[in-house]
Amino acid sequence: METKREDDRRYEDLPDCVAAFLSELVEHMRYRRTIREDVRAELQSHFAEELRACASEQDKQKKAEEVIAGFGDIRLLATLLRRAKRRCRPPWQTALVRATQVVAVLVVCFVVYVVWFLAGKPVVTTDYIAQFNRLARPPADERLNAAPFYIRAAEMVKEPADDIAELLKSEHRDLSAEQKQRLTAWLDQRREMFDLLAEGAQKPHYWRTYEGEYGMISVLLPHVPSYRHLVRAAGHRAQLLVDEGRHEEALTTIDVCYRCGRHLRAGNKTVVEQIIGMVAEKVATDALLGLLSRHCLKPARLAELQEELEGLFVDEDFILKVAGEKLAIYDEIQRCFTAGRLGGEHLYPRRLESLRSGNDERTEDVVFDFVATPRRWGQLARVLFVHPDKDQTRATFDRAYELWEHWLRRTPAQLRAEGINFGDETERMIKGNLLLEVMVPALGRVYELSCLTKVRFDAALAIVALLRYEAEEGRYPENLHELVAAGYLARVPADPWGPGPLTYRRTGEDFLLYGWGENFTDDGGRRGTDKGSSSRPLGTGDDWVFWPLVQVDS
Amino acid sequence: MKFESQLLKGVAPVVVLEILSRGQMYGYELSRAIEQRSGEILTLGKGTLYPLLYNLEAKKLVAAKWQTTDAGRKRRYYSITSKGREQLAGRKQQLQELTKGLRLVFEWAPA
Repeated sequence: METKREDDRRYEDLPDCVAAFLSELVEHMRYRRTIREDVRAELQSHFAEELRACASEQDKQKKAEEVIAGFGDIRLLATLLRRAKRRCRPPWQTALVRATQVVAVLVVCFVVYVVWFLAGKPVVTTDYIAQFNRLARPPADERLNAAPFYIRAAEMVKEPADDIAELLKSEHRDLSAEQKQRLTAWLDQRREMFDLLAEGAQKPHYWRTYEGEYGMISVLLPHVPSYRHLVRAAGHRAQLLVDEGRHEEALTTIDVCYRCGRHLRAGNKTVVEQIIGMVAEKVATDALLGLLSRHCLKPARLAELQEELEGLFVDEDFILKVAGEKLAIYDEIQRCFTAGRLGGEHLYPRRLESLRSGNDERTEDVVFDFVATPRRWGQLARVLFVHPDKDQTRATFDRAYELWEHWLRRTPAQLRAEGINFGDETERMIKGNLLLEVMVPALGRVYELSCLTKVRFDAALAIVALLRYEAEEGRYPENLHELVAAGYLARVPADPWGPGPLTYRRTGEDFLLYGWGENFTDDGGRRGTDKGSSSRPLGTGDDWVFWPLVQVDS
Repeated sequence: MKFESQLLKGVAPVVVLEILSRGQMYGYELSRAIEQRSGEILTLGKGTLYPLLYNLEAKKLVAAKWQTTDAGRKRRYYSITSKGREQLAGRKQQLQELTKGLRLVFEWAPA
């Protein structure tokens, strides 16, 4: 209504044909409203001047028609006026309009691209779980498999109370008398668990047959926490038996821990399983050295013990195996990238997000989450435009894998001499690849742990031999070569962080045995102040002293 | 008289600038002035005049502003800018030279 009244006022003295002409003209101009209204006002004024002299309505009508005819083709006029008015725009406005147009085009292209991108879906073509099962399973009868026993034993420590979980996680040397008492009571209620563990440990093999629809990642991790609790519980039990002076029972439990550790670590296992195996071997060595430092075993028992330990790990190279990891990552590559055509083998954000969050459920709003979180826009842009595709990702991983296979056979000291830092080099190779950054474990640390597991076992074996030598010869040997020459030890234990064997020195009535530690330097057997943690059992500073043990208040 | 549009195309801006150089005018007034001052020889169609004015405005050769008369009428007045004067001077000289040349051609008679 308001517009109609305005129009009426506007064309008050002008014939209808003028109003119609001007309305049609400005409509055909297809330009900004204010400019069109400006033109309309100016031409209206022109008509008013032209018709001012007309006396009658008829004359006005006639004159108006003449003037309209004088304006020529209305569409052409509208076009000319629009072009001329456009040229009148100040440069900044032109630039703004152009920029807006460019942005609009880019937005349209972006939307089309995103739709195309999201239309792609991964296609699972290879059953890597089955491949892994074939790889991990030795040619043995099911009756020789320790896994069913471990699985049942692990069920019994699946979800311990928080305080017990905390105790299990702690180093035994850090537990107070009251905590040990509480732990003993808890462990005593789980004798069946240890029976199962012991029965499984006697089996020659360990393998699990995995199955799952969501890929290898979903079947590898769920049992990890309970396995970790299980081996830690066994370690504490061995230490408690040592505390109580029940040597033989302690040695039996230590043997179980070693066997369980070897089951989980040796052969083709996933890295996570191997880590738990290393934890089992660590707690076994801790308990063994604790026993040897506090109780004198007879030479015959020491010889027997040494023979058992040597037999346990005969032909064992302690090298970290990554073949299982390779299949797990191949599996994720096929599940995390779209398969050709729509989506063009790009990263599939939904799968990547569920991997990151550890949530198996396929959340449909992942892309929306990306868009709704400004701090993730950079990452979204990376995923959309520059992230390596499926083939590039696989090539990057294959390159890294080839190097790992080479590096894993070298000691940290050898790698250092070649100027290689396992962790840093791996990080550099996979940098920028979101899937590999999520999937590739901190292999540098795991590799160090595997070296540490080996050197700790070698050191424990050497310590047993040294104690036996002393018991039989009445003194410690001058050096480790003398120990080997006298037939007490098969070979001098090498120091993975040093240029030669572990460093050995007689110290009065006792001896000192240590490795150079992470600083690759002989600090004279000085212990670091860092007490260590589960990932760095011997701490991070100075030398790693295997003997004598740190004295702990009992 | 009707001129070929291409012929008029180069002349029309000069004519408009020349008339505006004598004082500001609004569209209708300018249209009338062109006819009167050219002795009705030059008539610029309305469909040509306004796009031409807007183009001159875009090139900053003329400036426009709305004014309201005592009678309350709103008119858009055009005036020549200093840039317009400079261009006018150059174009006028060119046209004078052209006219001179044309005259010589038209008035040439074999000896």
